[in-house]
Amino acid sequence: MNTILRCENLYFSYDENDNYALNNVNLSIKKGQKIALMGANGSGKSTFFLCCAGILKPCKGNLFFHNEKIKYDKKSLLNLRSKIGIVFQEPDNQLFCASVYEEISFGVLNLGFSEEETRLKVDNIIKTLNIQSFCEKPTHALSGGQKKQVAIADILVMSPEIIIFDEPASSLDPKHIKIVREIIDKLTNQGLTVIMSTHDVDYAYEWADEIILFSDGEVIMQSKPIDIFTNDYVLNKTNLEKPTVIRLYESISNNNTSYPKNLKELETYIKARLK
Amino acid sequence: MIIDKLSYNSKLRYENAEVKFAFAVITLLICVISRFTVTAIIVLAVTGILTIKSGIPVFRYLKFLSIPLAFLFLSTIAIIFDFKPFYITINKNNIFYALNLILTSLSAVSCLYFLAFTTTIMDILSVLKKLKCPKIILELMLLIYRFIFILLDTAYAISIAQNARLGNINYKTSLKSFGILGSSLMLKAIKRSQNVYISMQARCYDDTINILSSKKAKPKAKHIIMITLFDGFLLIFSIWSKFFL
Repeated sequence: MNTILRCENLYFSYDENDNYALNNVNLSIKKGQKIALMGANGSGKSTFFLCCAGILKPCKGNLFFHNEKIKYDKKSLLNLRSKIGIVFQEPDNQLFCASVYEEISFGVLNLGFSEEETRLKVDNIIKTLNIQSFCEKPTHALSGGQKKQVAIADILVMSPEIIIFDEPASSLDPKHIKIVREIIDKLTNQGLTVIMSTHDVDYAYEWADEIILFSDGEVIMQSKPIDIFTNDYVLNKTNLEKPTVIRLYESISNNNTSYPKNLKELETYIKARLK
Repeated sequence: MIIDKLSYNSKLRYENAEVKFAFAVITLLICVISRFTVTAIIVLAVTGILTIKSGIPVFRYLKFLSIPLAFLFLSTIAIIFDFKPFYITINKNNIFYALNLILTSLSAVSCLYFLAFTTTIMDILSVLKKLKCPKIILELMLLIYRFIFILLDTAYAISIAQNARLGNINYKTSLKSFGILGSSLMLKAIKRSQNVYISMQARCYDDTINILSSKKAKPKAKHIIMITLFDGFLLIFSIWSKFFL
């Protein structure tokens, strides 16, 4: 797989001194991968996302998109932002239009599409995400889950190559978490590169191809979920716990090599042992 | 916001916004320019009936009308009374003049109520856009409209949090809590606007807010004819009253 996003020795500071929010970050993300970014609150995940979209300019280091160094002139930034979409954690910070339809059309029109093309794209995304029932509503009258769906539609309609979700399940009820996850699954099945920050270890373990652990602005580990969640040192350092599947498996099995990937596999293992 | 809720639930919501806008504005202009009491009464009655028929409860409509009415009564007191050095008089002409003023103003307000209660802000903005209203004004209206709700929600949440910790137990603490609410709301508003700007930048914002409204209902010939007839009659009646009454 080709590397779609790479950063080398990336530093970023909000107050322009040596207090770095991102401190020598080195990582690479391959096209079509499902990446979970994990770490304690304030570890630099959201700052990293803003750097990826060129909203924050690193103090030092370089970011590469498709192996091309990101430039910070207006044209290059608009081009970059059309390829990397961010669904922000708080939908109220993202939705600023009076109605859902207007909100979704905003990004597409900024890409330079004509009115007719925009209408087609907006109607299409409304159908795909099944949000017809509230597409005529004002954004302030939506529930938290509906706002999140609209925030996702905002980005998807721009057809980005990478979509970043900043804690997509935060403050959502189980029904809307399920809806959002189904949307994410659809995207990953289409081969889109999805980067997501989350604190849900169970979901990250089952969903991600790779997990990147952030701690105090540094990447302390980038590896497969099983390597991350069986490493007690990094879990302690990032305030994370082992996923339920791993904890259960370790409590009933002496063989700590072939871990089940999800509850279904664990169930099969338990049934086989009971026979 | 109650007006916003009423406009979204109005039976006339899906009727063409340009037609409603034209009806409200033309009727208002005729009413204000003619300054004729009978014209004002007709406009007040017609817009009132239309607004109530669109689904606004009578009592609520009257309550909304009573707000400007209170201001009008207070401000016309000075017109009714003649203040002389040693006495105050009431002039019959002045009473009629004040009455005319109240009715004209009230009917103008009722035209605007008709528009506000039957047309959503998005539709009003799209009409203003078609009328070539400056983009900066439309963008400001859009952002202010959105931020009103966010700030109201935030203020409500802060006030609940203050109440939960006895923040309004007496007059002194209430005043202090209100001050804190105001200042924290200000800080939150600034932070929120920064976040909104970041999210707009992330969607290729390039100093112009480009948005597209969903397709609206086409104007109905029946409505256009009725409005033309009504406003035509009103205009002729007003001109006639100016010259023959």
